[in-house]
Amino acid sequence: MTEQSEKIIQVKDLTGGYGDTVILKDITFDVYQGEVFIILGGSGCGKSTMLKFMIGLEKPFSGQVSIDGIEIVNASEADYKKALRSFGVMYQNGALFGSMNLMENICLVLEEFTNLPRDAMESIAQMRLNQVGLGNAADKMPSDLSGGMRKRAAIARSMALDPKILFLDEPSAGLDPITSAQMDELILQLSRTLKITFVVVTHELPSIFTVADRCIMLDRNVKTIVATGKPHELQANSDNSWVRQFFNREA
Amino acid sequence: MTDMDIQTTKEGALSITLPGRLDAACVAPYWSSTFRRLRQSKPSLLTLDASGLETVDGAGIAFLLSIQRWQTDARGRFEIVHLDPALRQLLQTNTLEGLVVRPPRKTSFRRVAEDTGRAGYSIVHDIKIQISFLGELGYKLISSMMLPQRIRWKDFFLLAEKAGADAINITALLGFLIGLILAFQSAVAMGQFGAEVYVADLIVLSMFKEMGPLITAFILASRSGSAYAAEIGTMKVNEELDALHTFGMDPVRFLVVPRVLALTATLPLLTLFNILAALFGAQAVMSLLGISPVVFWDRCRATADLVDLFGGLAKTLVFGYFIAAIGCLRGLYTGKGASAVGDSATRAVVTCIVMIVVVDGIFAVVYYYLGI
Repeated sequence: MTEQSEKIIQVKDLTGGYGDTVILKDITFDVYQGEVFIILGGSGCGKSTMLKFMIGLEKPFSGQVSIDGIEIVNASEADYKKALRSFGVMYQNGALFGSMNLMENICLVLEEFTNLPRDAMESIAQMRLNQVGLGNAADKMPSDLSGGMRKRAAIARSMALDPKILFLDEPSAGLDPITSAQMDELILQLSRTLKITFVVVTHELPSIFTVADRCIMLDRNVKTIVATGKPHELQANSDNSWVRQFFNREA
Repeated sequence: MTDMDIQTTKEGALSITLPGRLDAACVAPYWSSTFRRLRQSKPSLLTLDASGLETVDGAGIAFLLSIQRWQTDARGRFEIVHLDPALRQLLQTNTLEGLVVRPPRKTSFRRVAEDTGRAGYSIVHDIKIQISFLGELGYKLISSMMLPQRIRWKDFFLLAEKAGADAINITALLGFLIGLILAFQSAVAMGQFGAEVYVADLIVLSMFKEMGPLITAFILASRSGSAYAAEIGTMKVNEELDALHTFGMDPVRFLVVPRVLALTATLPLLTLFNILAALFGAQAVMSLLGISPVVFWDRCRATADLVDLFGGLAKTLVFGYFIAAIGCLRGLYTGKGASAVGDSATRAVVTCIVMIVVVDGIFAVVYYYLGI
């Protein structure tokens, strides 16, 4: 399906890091509309940094990132704001606002960007919560939720404004296998029903095999992409021994 | 692109032609007008014509679902015609189930009574916690003093530096300004009787006995009391306090005792700085008003009384104990999340200030009967 869809994210010749340290160099890849795209790699390989470059939280040393046709690395503030409307982000721990319940967390975003009446906002928020299976938790505070529920609530919040792309940072980190599988199921379901493009940062093998259409693999030593493709193909016939090791969980 | 059109087709039936776009940017006016019309006409059959509908997003879906829900609740019939199959599937997979429409809260006698009762209970509960904590702390403080080698002296000196030495500038500055203002205001009034020279008496007495200790205590309450509440509160949120517990280390002994000792030790010293700076402030004003520094300092020396000074400083020992204890207490009782830490810091400052004034009042009564 990916071949005929259009490119929604393009990363070109990206090199970046913190201070003088280069963490990623010469990264080039595309994400196609509607696919579940996974950025994977071992600890400390720059997966989360890659995500920060893609959503514009950090600036790379050089290179380009364009999201939904907008080049964001050197974008004007207005352009960047426009780009922001096209994607949502789920941070590792959810980053829900602790002083508000889930309903208010979602409505806050809608209040800021739309002029909908209150009951309309609540309807949208409830619909989003139902979509992630938290329909009966609307008046719960984030501190009353388990880690998995918090992540799902964060997904509901990031979907408030109908993003075309959702970036998920470690959606199954710290979750038990069953909750983790539910999270994968949610990603697949949202991707199928709402045609949202997913960019997922993870290193959990089961979820990679379940959700991924395509993935890229980063490596800490060479600081760049060492493999691109479908996970099953990489597992079976990558010419890089480290990649095969990773997929086959060999020490 | 078509606009939305609402028509009554026949008796009791309403037909809505949906617009071309139903998204977050443009659904707001439709939302209000549609529901206003629905409330007015209460149709038994509602037909939505989706033939012109091209763009729909989450807000649009929620809009359609809300209409459907409204009509179902009103026991009317509902249908959407000419709907794109993909959209129909989206409508079927999404629900508004669980949406609670909360009626606006009404003020009633019962609610006021309930709220008052709850507030009263929480105040009493809070006071109980404070009293038992202060008692526990007193006991642990004394038992720590018995074994001084068990006190974390390194922490104590660091905390004393942070709460004391680092606060000298602000305490002195505020003292200087208060002295300046006090001297100026009283000189204006006393000048009418030609008694400017007695301003020195007034400053010495008020600063030694009341203003100096109070101002310094307020500064420390807002500076260190809140900091302790926030610091210990964050430790609680990060489960660091639980970690201390599981190592068998008592948080009161480990965190609270050094802080209480640090504040109790530094507050009297800071008060001295504050008073001294206030005298310099007053002297600056007096010089401008033509009273020579020699006369001013001579009057100060004549009025200054060690009993007044130590009476004031004795209070600050108690203030220091309460500020540190309440700051730490609020930290230890922090709830969950970032906002709870903020609440703790706020409550720490408020409680400290109230406590300082109450304790000051008690001291005033005691001193009166002791004849100090």
